[in-house]
Amino acid sequence: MAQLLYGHEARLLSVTRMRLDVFNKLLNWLQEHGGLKDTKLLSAAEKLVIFLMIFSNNASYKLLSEVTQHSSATIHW
Amino acid sequence: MLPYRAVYEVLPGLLKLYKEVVRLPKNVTLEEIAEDPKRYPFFADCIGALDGTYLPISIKGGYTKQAPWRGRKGGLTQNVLMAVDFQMNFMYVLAGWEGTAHDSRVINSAKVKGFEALPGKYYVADAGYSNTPMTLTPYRGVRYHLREQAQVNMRP
Repeated sequence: MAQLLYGHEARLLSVTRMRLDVFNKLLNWLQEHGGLKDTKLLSAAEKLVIFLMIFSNNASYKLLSEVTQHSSATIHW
Repeated sequence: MLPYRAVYEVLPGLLKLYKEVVRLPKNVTLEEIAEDPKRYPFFADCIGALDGTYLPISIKGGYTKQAPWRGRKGGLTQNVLMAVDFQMNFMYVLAGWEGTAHDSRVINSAKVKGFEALPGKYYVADAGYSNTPMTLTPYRGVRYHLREQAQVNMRP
């Protein structure tokens, strides 16, 4: 996940179809106005990446757990 | 609904973006219409187009719960109403109606939920809708696009 958020911009673009600056703007807006919060198991940024991967690439939860390196029970319950 | 935690937590906030991002056109004729002599005097008050589409879904639960979603397109579907402007930007989306619901049913529901056009402005829609102050539909029983059909040697 850190590789996506802090690595080369093209990686986030290919995974979420969203540029890094747009992603950060959206993340800030959602945290200020949309009630999106960090929780114990998932940060707000991770939640947004997971959300975008589902809706842009139809990602399966097995793939999501691989990319985020979380247990599939954290992503899908 | 998808049993993804992230979807439950991100989606409600994302829906609030609608009021931030979507700006419906002001009370002027759109450039795309004003600059086109085919369109200008006739469609001066048009602000976009709308139509319904069926999106495949899956339903948790037994067959009894699935019945209303099994519409005329086959499989389990939602009837989704969408309105777009001339750049194909979405202006309005109403998702969630059962696949058995007809387009007119969905747009009436959208109006109840606050979908509107400025007074005197309208969307163009296909024959599944009715002529109302906010939707303009084709004339019934008129054959359109005769010249285009003739070019490809087809009868309308």
